[in-house]
Amino acid sequence: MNFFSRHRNTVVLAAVLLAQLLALAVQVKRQTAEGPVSVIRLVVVGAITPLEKAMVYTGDGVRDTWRNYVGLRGVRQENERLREEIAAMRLERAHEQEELRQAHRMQALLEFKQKWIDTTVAAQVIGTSGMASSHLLFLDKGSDAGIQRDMPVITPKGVVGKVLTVFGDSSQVLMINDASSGMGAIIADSRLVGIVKGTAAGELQLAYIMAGETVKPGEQLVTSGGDRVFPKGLPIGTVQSVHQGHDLFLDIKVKPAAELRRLDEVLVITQQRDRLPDQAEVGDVRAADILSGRLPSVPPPVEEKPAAAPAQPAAVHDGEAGRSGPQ
Amino acid sequence: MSPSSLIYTSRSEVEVYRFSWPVSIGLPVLMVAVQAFLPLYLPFLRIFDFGLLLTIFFAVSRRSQLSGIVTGAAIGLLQDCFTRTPFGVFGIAKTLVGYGASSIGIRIDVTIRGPGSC
Repeated sequence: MNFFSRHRNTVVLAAVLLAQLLALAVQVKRQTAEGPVSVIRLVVVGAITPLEKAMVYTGDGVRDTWRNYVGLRGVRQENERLREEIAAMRLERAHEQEELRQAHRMQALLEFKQKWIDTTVAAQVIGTSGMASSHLLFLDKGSDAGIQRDMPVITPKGVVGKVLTVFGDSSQVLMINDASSGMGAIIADSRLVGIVKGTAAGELQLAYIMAGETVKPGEQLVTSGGDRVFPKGLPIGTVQSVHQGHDLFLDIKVKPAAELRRLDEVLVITQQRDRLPDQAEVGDVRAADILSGRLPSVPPPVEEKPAAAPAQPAAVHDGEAGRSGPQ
Repeated sequence: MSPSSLIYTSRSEVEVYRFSWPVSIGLPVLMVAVQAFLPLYLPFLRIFDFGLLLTIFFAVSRRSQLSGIVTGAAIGLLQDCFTRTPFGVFGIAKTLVGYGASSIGIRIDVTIRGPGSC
């Protein structure tokens, strides 16, 4: 008793440290990927999230007021510039749609199943972990909105991360640049497969690309779909620098496509489905027909019409010509 | 009077601050919320550990090792809730910081006195 009263502070310090060390040891031993959300974390996050929501919504209100009144200068010029961009993009889109239809036909013929994004939930980012060593986000939607663990989180620009923990009206997202994060990736042009991982400094790196391979800065990276979390083909980022690693692999740094440091709203992919391309748009077409359509072909011979023949509608000629193929 | 007694203030003269329960609980909660919110708009603020600053502030102001230990552990565990790390990583660090800061606070008086006061 005398010892305790004399060294009370040291004893309390030792007891508090010991208790936390024991708790740490138990957690590390029991830690599993599917572990339940701890009650303490649930209570604390539940208590703080409304405060964060209030801060974010107030900040958004002020920002929107500024943008909608003061920030409207120069909108007319911007509008004209955007109209020109839209016109150019329409032309580009028409060309790409034709390519897409062609690709869908080929996929259908090959019975190529693909993950399709069915439904998404838009969510607002209301907070971070606040620590430089931990890259987590808090969203203002949770299990009430249909969000579940391991659902992919994206922006129109690229991948953000995946849902780590779900609460009632909020959820925690593990960003792709966190040191414990990893996802399957493909270099879009060379089709090299690797894993994009986060680093302790919050950067992205592409791992497991053999040193003999050729990778150039500027090459695009997309999701491979092999991790069963992210659907295939979502943009991850671009190769920033390539160096020879200390082991057998290249040391490749990646610049993320999404603005990971400034995120406002994100999309959570709540439903994906294995699906074949729509058969209705394919019709009865053989693969050979599709391929032959891409080959340079001989123009059809022009039929010589008798000069005295009566004029007939062009549609009839076209129809006959269509039916008078090789039989 | 020895020179050391001129440098070090005796414990009875040191000003000890007391905080009400709402401040003691509300300030760490507000700190965690601000720490989570501000980096959304000012990403460079991630490098500042507001929990560390608050732990040192409470520990030095109260000048009690026991209080420093408890405050440090509480703030550290609060921060653990918002990271992916297991409970205790920040808790242990802040417990030690709280103990150390309060130990220093007992021995050194950092209060700035006005020119008229002695």
